[in-house]
Amino acid sequence: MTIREAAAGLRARRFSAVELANTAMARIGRHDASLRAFITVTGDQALEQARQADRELAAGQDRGPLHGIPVGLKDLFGTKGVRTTAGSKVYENFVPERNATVVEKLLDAGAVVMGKLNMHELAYGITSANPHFGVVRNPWNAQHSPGGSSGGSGAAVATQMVFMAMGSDTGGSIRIPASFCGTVGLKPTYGRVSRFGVLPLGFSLDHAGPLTRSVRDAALTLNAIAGHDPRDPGSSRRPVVDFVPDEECSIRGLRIGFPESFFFEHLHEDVESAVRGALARAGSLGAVIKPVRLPDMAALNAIARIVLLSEASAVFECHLENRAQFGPDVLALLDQGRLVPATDYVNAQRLRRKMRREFDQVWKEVDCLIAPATPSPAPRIGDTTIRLGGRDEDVRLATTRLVRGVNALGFPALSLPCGLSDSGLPVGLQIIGPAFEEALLLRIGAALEDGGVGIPPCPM
Amino acid sequence: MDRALQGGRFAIVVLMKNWVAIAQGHGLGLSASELDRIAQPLATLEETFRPLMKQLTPDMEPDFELHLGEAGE
Repeated sequence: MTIREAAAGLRARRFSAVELANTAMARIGRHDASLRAFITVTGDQALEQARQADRELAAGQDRGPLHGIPVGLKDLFGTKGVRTTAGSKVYENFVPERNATVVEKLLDAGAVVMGKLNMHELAYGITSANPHFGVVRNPWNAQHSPGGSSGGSGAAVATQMVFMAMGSDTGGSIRIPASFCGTVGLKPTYGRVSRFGVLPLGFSLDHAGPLTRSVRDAALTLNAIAGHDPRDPGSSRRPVVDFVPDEECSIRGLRIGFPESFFFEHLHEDVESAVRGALARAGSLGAVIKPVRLPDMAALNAIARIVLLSEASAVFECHLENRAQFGPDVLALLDQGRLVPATDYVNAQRLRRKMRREFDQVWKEVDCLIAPATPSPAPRIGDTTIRLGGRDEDVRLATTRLVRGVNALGFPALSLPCGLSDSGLPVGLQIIGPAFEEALLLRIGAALEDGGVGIPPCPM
Repeated sequence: MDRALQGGRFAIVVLMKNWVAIAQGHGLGLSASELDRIAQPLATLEETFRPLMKQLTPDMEPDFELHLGEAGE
């Protein structure tokens, strides 16, 4: 069931918000011991919020489509009175005194918060094999990674523990778990959704966005959480629009860029065939598929990595005296960041502006790009290398290869499932567009979804 | 950058940093395995990043705040 279907059911009195919350609790109880998707379950609080939603709906006070809908929050969204760990020892006992802006907005929209979701430690990695709160597992195959860093968000949405989970994306951390867990994931434009109250990793790269089971559910969520926030210095004053695509949305005549070089190199064969199939479907729906040449994406990835290494180490340097509180992979990245000279950081930021201007030319040729979200389906838990296109790659670098650069550009990107691999694991594509064109991306995604691009529900 | 003699001709080469020496110079007090774990990825990253410096001209300013689509962006 999607948010839209649940919202319709609530208003038709087919079930209550309390029943929805109880069903969510039952699914958490059934699956979370094996999946480790949650760090904190706030069951009592959720039930009280659900009762309130039922009272309000019965009184005709309708807060909109999220009213009474069970949702989850990656455990770096600050929650008043509820521990917010960022999956780390650093914040193990951090109990915020106020909610993040996104949490405020979701509560104002009537959402029922079921709890705080597990993640890669400090959001600094892609496995969600958390050394402090347990290894998150992929609900399609528990031997495989859910991706990360928003791995608990992906697993919880795929298994219907919640209808929507908030994630954050600094180098692909929404789109990777969406791809591996078979959900939709939206990284909005930088500045579109407030970061206030969200524990930071890379100030100029961090984005907050939803993981959902349908494109329109992602749009409904963006309607609730987007908008200017004076408490976030990176927040945009761009007016928000209605992001939800029409029922009969069309992509006829849209120019969809097909970036064959870079994005279609060194792919798992099942990924390549699924994404090419989705592109063909877009063509059959009337879109114009145009081969497009992009700026140097490998260079952009290097720029983004320099920026992230520097910013993340600046955030956490004050905690590095106690090295034992970090997992080894995160500690290695924080040490690396301490060694990057300030000149490299500044020059990376200069190159970043240059790359963004080079993309202005791309957006004159096409309206968006469609590409794989990840070059492979979910790797097995514990794998450190993966063989793609005849070469061995570090799993972390391979998994972030197709998503990281978009964070440096700040452009919106929508990941959605487009097939299953021969081994039964989800494959995801991403639609990338110009700044503040989320509505366009969501329309394209909805048209593809309506046109049959997708996967069956997770069997768990 | 430096000039080096390659096959009888001069070529522009980019000097790479010695990350192990830099880490030791920072006094991080890392073990040999920890040093290897941070130096090798930085060296690989630098192979891609360092040559990009050639694209920079003095008028190119950094983009620290990433305000998209506003104030002339």
